[in-house]
Amino acid sequence: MSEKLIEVKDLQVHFKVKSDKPFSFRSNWLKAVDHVNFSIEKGKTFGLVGESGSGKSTVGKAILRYHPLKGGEIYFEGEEIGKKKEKELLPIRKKMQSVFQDPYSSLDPSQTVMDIICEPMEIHNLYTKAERKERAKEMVQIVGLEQKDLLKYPHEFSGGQRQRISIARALSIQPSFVLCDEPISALDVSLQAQIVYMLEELQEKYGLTYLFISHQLQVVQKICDEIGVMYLGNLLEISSSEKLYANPMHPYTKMLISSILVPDPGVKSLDGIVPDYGEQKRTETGCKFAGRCPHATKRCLEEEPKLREVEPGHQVACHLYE
Amino acid sequence: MRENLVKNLKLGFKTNKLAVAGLIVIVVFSLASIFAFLYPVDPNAISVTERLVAPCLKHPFGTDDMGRDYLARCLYGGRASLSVGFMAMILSTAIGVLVGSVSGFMGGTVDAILMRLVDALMSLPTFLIMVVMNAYLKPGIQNVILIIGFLTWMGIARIVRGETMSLKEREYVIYSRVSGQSRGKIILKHILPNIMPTVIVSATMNIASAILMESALSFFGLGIRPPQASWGSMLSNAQRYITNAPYLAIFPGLLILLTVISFNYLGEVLRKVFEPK
Amino acid sequence: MEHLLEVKDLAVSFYGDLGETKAVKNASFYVDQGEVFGIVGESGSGKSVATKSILKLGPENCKIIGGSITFQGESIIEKEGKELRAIRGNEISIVFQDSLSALNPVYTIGSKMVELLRRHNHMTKKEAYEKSVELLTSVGIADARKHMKSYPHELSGGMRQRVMIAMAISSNPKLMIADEPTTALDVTIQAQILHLLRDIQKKTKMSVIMITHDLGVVAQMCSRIAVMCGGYVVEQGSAEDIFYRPQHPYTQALIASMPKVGSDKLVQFLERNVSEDGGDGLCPFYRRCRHASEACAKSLPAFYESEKGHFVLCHVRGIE
Repeated sequence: MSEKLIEVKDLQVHFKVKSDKPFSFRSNWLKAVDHVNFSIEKGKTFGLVGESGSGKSTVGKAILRYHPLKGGEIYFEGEEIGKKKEKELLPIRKKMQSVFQDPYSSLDPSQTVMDIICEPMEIHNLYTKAERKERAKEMVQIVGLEQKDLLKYPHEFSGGQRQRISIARALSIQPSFVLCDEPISALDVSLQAQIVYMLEELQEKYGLTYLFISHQLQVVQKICDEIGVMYLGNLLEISSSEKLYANPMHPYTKMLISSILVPDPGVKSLDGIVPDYGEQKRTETGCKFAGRCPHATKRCLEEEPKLREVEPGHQVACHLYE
Repeated sequence: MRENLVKNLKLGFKTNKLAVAGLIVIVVFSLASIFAFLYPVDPNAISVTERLVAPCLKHPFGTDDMGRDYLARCLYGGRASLSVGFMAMILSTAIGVLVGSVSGFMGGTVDAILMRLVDALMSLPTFLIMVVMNAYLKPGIQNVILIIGFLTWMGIARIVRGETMSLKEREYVIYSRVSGQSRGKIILKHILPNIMPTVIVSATMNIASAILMESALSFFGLGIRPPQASWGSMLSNAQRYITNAPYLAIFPGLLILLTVISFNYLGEVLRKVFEPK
Repeated sequence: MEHLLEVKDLAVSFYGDLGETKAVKNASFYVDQGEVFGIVGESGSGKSVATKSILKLGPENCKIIGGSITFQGESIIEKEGKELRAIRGNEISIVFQDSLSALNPVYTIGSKMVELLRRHNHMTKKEAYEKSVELLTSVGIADARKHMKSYPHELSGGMRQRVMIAMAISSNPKLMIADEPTTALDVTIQAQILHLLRDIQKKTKMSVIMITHDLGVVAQMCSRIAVMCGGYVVEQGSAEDIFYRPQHPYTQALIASMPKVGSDKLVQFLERNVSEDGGDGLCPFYRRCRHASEACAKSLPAFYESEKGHFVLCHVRGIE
């Protein structure tokens, strides 16, 4: 059994939302992440897939302690970090880094690439000024850019190059964990492969652990060892990536996989889609997916299924598998 | 970015001839009032024999009711009006940026308190307060600057707050937060440089309104006290002679008009240049 | 046989502060009666501008500077005002990517649909209302009568896109232009919407132009495909031609780089740098192309018909 780098137990994140009634001062709470449990082994990549509103990104940012937790625990290298104060978090923040989705908003347009890459080193007071510059030069080469690029501003780069800068920034302080929040979703298909390959290469080289968040199953499957499928704040299925494709269990996972459009005119994938019976709807009781599920029973509407291991290494939250 | 800015500025001015004219007017007026001493005539020298002389060779702008050279008064009056404009703008912008960025970035209670303060100040009739405050403070250029500065920062604060709130959700700010950067430093390093364009634009417009306010205050005899000249006070003085010496009103009026219009055109170009592409 | 729509040597430019930007340099394609035609390309390839120019729906500073557009045997490039409006939304309708900004937020779905129906048909209000309900039901909106009173923001993205489709088919158009109709949607919703579009197309026999960057979408929906790159249509042919026998190196690379379920291979691709696009009159891909030859640096190749109906714009076509 290898070591767990990150373990999330019963994670809950709630957001305050405006009440739908006018003149009401009581605010409603949106359960963005609702009792989520999973763990990531050291050196592995855990993928979170889900559609908009699934809370996958919120989980990632909650682990980095961006969103305040409503409940639950987060363990990093065996240490509970979910309740730590900002000051106590600093040494842990040094080991956790992030690469975000939007290559246009993840880099400060008013800073040079040198400033951008040096920022995390400055925050954690690593190295002297001269050493930081050396390190930045080293980092741009690692991610396949040139030294002269350090003096440029982000707008002079294309989307793919910007993501490289983001990666260089994240790796400059030698983290052990990197949150990749949809790092390639905003890129043209032709560039996605490059970034994916680079992330894999760097993982091997530096023994990194990734949490890879994406809405594209096709992509997640390539780089992830384990995948969790999220829907409206719940984790519905966790499995190794091969198994998830070979044997998807949860009806939602099946729907997701059937919705992938195969880029081959000979395969008529559109004919085989699982029909949809409803809309995304947050419910208080029962399975969140019940409204769209072709197998929903009365029990699904009343009782929320718990995530349980159905096969070794394959967990599902569905009443069908009990 | 820097070189791009220069290029964009050139382009902005190239496509907007009025802004070029505005820039020239501002530069000429500023230089003229800075180097007013080069015109060797005392603006406060009274001459009983030369009262209300129409513009002639000796007095290009004529003289006023006390026989003072009107050109000299216009030059020194420009000093007062323009410096009130600049200084009040700097003061109001500084306060506005500070309040706006802290309010927008912190959110929650801090934001609520600061914004209610802004609302309260905005709902007060500014001009009335100015009049009242002027009654208690000693007249003089410093007090005019302080009064205008402290009563006109709310607009900028609101704009800065809005910008900050949207920048706060940018991924580079989120990145900085989760990397452990302190809030103060995030505001300094990531928020302020990126709201500068908006701030510069509204600051330019603010100069214009500060000059107008000073004129108005002086017009009612509340701003800069005689014998010191400002465009506003000259205008106010001129109303008594509007029929027999209309040039007394025309010169300072024209100067105020030109300055304000010029700043507005300049702001227009700056906004275009800085607008995110 | 005459094509329903034929676009020949279309060139479109934007005029901004920095002078002219050529968005579409040379686009030629045709659409036949009753077929689904796909235009694929990456961002900045000019696919959307080229298609919107058919109806002159580009932004104000965008101008057609060359080429011809023939619809039902009639040149429509000079058409303005009333004549153009008669085609727009009647003979040719359009479905946009962003349904929220395409629908006016202050009108209910019902009032918008009734207005649209009455503009193009002689109908009483009541007839138009009933027809609207019928249309909404036909695009899979349950409880259509209730949703007639909804405002656009009250509907989900998928529902709004269904409404857009209902509006687009309300005038029984000969041609529907779908500009990235599912890009903003979740994958499960995307599949449902495409399924619906395909059903409607089969039923009404209208022609559809699908503009997309997603090869999965074109593979599943289209019978013929044009590939755009840097303002040029670089390859055009049947879906099988494009996917199984791609001739242009760009198409080959694009298809190889698509992530496929069940395969671990991803093919690397050279990054596009706008400044590296070929200059005027050169192949837009030549600087990134592995097979570029001397001829590529000198001149733009002519269209070459490698099989019947399969056109390639390349000097060194066919190398795998």
